[in-house]
Amino acid sequence: MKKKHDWVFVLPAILVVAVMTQVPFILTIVYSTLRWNLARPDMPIKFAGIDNYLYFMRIENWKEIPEFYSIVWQTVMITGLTLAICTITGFLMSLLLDTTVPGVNFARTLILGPFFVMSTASGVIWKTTILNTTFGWYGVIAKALGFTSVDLLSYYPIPVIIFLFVWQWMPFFVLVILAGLQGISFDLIDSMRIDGVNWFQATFLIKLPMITNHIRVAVMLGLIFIVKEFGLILVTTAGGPGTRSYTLPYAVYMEVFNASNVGRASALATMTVAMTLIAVNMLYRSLKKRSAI
Amino acid sequence: MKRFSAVIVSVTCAALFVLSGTQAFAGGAGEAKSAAGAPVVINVAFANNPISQALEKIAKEKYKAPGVTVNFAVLPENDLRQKLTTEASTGGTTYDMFYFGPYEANNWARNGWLENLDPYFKALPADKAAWYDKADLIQGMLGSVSLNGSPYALPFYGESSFIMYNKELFAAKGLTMPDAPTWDQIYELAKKINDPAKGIVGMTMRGAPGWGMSGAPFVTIVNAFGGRFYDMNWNATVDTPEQRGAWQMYKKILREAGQKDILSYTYNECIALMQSGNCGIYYDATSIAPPLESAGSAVKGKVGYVLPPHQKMTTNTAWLWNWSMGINPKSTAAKKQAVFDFMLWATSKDYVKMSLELDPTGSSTPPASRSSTYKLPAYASAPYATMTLKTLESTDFTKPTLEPVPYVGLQYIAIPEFADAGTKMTQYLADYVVDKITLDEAIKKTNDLFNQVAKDGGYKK
Repeated sequence: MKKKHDWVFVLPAILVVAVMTQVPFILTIVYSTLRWNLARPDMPIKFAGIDNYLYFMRIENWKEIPEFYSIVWQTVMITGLTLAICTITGFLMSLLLDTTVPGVNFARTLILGPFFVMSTASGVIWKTTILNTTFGWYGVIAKALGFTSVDLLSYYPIPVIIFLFVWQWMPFFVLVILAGLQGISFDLIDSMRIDGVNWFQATFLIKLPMITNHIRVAVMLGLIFIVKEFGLILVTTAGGPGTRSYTLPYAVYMEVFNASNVGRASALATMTVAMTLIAVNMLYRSLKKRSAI
Repeated sequence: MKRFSAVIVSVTCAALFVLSGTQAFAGGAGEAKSAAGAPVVINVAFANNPISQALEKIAKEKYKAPGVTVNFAVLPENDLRQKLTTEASTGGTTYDMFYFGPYEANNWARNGWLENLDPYFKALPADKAAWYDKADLIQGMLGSVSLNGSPYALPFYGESSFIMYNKELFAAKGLTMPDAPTWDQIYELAKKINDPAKGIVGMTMRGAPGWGMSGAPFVTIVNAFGGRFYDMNWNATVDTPEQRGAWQMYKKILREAGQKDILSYTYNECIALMQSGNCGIYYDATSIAPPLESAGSAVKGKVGYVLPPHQKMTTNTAWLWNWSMGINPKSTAAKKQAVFDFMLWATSKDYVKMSLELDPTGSSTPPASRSSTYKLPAYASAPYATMTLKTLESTDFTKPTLEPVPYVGLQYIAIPEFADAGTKMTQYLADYVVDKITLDEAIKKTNDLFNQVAKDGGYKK
């Protein structure tokens, strides 16, 4: 009889967890159904149904696809390419660091450096002291070599952003993948040597399959972190030129802080969360399947 | 009964935990401290332009108010606008003093987001009122941040826009700058000066998107070309030959004779380029001139100043702006008074004199806020002083365009939605400048955007 009411004592914990994690999201969903512009307190807040969603998603003319879709595509492209490059370079870098040569610990520490620099700080450094065509190293070196420097941030914003994301996030991949490589038992490595396995076979046919789960975890966490990466875009391209380097989180930021439009920003945020959850869920399922095997 | 009590206890525990972090609990404690005579801490935010940065520096050293600590934050202009608009509209109290211009002042005062300064002036002792001399503030500037005759802010400094050019580079090429140039003339001159092989840039202008960034020079070009953004019925009028002419002019000047990193250039980069002596022409705010004449500048004494360029519209082609200080109405009474005292100090004649004594070049002195500033011999003799006054006197923000329009504002449209629409417009402009979209696409997108704004904002009946 007593046990029947034990759940009551768990109630504070449930309430706290619900308030801390779910209430803000539920409120965002509620706000997304309102016509609410902070800059216009004279216009009453009113229920708008799915108008805010339609504002972004409605296609009136197939020749002019709304900006929302190009922003989604840019987000997918930036995140996807960053994850792919981080995985490949992270794996190769981990192979280099998975040795016992002198100074390898120092090299491991150095490689982690970019991961610990704040993204806004690294953005400012890259934009002003390195990539600027007049005052930056790139401009100075190009001039000294007789080349005409191109404003990379304006003409190639997405490649530059992907490069900067990779620069910053690759160390994280190294951290996880290296842990996987170092977890491979010495017995197995000795056996490989005795069996006369060459480097290619050892790396891609034996070690790589053994650390697949580590790579999946790195990709899943990387996806969660990189999809919401915002500071670097703000300080480098500011989403530009035009909206060419906007990602969904940056678009949400502009909608709420520049347009003061709470309703539309909430709709955009809700769609962003939904899309991210679907992608993470897919990865997680594949991870679970893999573990089951 | 036991079960009911357990539920009550659980809910109360959870509610207390959540509430303990809210402002209702935190705010009350803060107020009690101030009332008890504890030090008052006020947070103020400024834009990162040279004159505002000078204020921060001088205030840190010279502003002394017993029991008051002033925390300064200096933010890039776009960020400052976004932060303060959110702060004001949501009733936040991160900043006790707001720093903004006439565009915000009008809307914010009407929405109750700014403190009316009349009661503060009425409460001033006679000697302090005489010391401050409110009548000396340039009335047009004070009027632009007032509502129904009551001031809601105090102008710290004002600006219009004009052309600055490097006389040395002009002389080397045997060129002459007209006293009142057209945009066509400016374009031709910029192209002649431009010499990439020697690292000489023909002309610089703000290129970074933002309604207050590239939007400021660009909208005045639209006005000069005879363009407008709305007709009297709030129909968007972006797709006109006049507007197209302005878009093309902005692009061809910067692409054919401008800085290479066009879209990264805020006024700070433009100033640095002009100061380096490697730029022929610079169109920007009159308040930019003092840093060009300061000690570290390679063009000190070599800069010429002429009226802002015109085209189809021959007068009123400059912009008009001021940076003003207002009080956050949500702050505590003690903080509001401390902010008002700080504002009085920063906008006083004494501050103007002190800034000129500390920096005799005038680059730290706030212009166009007080009439008396132009009577100070050291300031009146500055090379840009006459042209600054002349430009300021020639502007009228109530008649910004050749054709009649339903809005006011020279480099902006005084409606709350313009902060977003103007920024988006400059993003399309940036896209067009670097060939990511065509002129037709840019014009169509902007026209659709302004029509949407008129509809969303309920302007179009």
